[in-house]
Amino acid sequence: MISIQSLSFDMPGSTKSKRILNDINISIGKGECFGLVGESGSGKTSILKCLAGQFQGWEGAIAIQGKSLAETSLKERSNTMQMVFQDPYGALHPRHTIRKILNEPLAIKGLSDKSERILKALKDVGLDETFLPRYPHQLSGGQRQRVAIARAIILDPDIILLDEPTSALDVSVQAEILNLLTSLHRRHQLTYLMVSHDLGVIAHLCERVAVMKSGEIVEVVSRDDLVEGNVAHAYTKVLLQHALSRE
Amino acid sequence: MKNAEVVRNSDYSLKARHNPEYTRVALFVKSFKKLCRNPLSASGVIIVALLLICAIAAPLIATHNPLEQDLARVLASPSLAHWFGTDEYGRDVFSRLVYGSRVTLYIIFLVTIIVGPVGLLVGTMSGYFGGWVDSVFMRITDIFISFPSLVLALAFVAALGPGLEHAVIAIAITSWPPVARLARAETLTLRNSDYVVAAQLQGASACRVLFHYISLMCLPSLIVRLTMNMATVILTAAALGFLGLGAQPPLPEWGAMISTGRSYMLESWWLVAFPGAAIMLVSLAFNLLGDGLRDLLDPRTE
Repeated sequence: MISIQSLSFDMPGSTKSKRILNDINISIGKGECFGLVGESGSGKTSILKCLAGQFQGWEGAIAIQGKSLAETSLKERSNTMQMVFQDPYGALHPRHTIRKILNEPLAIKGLSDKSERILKALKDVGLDETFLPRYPHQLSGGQRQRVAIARAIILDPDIILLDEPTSALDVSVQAEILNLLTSLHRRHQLTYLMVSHDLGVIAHLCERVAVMKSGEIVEVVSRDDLVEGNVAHAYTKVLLQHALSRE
Repeated sequence: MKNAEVVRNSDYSLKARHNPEYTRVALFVKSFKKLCRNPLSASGVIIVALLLICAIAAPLIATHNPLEQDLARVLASPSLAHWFGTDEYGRDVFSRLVYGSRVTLYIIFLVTIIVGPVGLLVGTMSGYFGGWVDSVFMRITDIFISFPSLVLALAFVAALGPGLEHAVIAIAITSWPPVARLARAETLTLRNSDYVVAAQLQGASACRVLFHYISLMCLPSLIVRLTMNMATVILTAAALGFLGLGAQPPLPEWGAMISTGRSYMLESWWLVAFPGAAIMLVSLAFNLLGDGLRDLLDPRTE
């Protein structure tokens, strides 16, 4: 579904550019849920930004469903790939109602049967139609994140990029959103690429995890190996220990 | 399954359910009440409202015809018959002031509907696209901003000939650059925000992002800026009128009234004092209103 080969990216700076991604190789199958874990600044989100088209000028090859990403326009990309952001407060336009937020992707695509699709997407994320005339500031953080997820799935994409979708939320709300993501994954046959610094969240959702450190992938481990502590690289062990000691 | 539960909105009233516009109207009423709670901005609101009433109901409020000359009562001092006195042709100053509010509002309205969209368009485009678009637009803005505005307006009116419309164009040309800069600065902070990225990911065109996402967020500060700008517009219009380049006689424009009254100022103070007071009061009112709107609309001051 997603294949990333020898992806490198240099962040252009004022004097010299800084390499923030170095020789990344990932291959994600259809319907898989793949995690990226690592500390801040390790380049997890940068991979998503390369995929989402926010970072231009990367080197290497990215292919989505066999099609080279460099040759697909943002408009074509929007049919297969959507993103859920970390901050539910910044991800929704503060002066758009929920109706407008969910209507926008449909209007851009020029689709008909808008209201049915909006209602279905809302129902999918566990909200009802009474939310439609409201503004984002009238919603709680968890409800906003649900709206953001509804916006991501309303166009029936195959891939959803999740940029720390739960880290800005309360622990109890985190669990709700994770459960929601799990059930959507099953019902819609979605492929997830999820970024998180929380191994617990990743282990809950993802079958395979890539551990990142300073722009490189140090190890790709399966969930079972992660849970059993069956990891090879020293850095992964440190991360795992941290995660266990917190619990 | 827990997540399949539908979350209900407990405080969602029946009234809101039937009227989707309810929240918007309620918000507006609440904001207006908040605006009027501050005595300074409330006085601004009242004076601007009075100006509007004067302009709309001018024939009802004015005691005389503003253009009717009465050479028997030239330069009469304020009395019961002529509240603010009469001018050198015996025209009633009060009635001319009342009708002059129409001219003033006309100028403000025209300048604002030119300056607002132009500034918004130039500013958001240069902020959003960046690169050479930004460079070109901002250099043009710099050129316009580096001219002294009254001199540019003078040159423009001199080239086109005096007249109200030409004065309006001249004022508009000199007052859009600050609006464009403001819109650009706002856009720069918005263009990498998550909701703009989300819109781009949905395949939204640049045009759509600019109109549906960025402009909407620029509007509050732009409205404040334009309201403050109205005070400057009134003063510039009065200055142009005073120099004989704005409204032409016998149109009762406040600046022009001061200009003609200047020759009789020492004997007939009312010819200059009342139009001057009107200009001062109205521009002060727009400044106060702008301040009040800024407190209300700018999220950073909360």
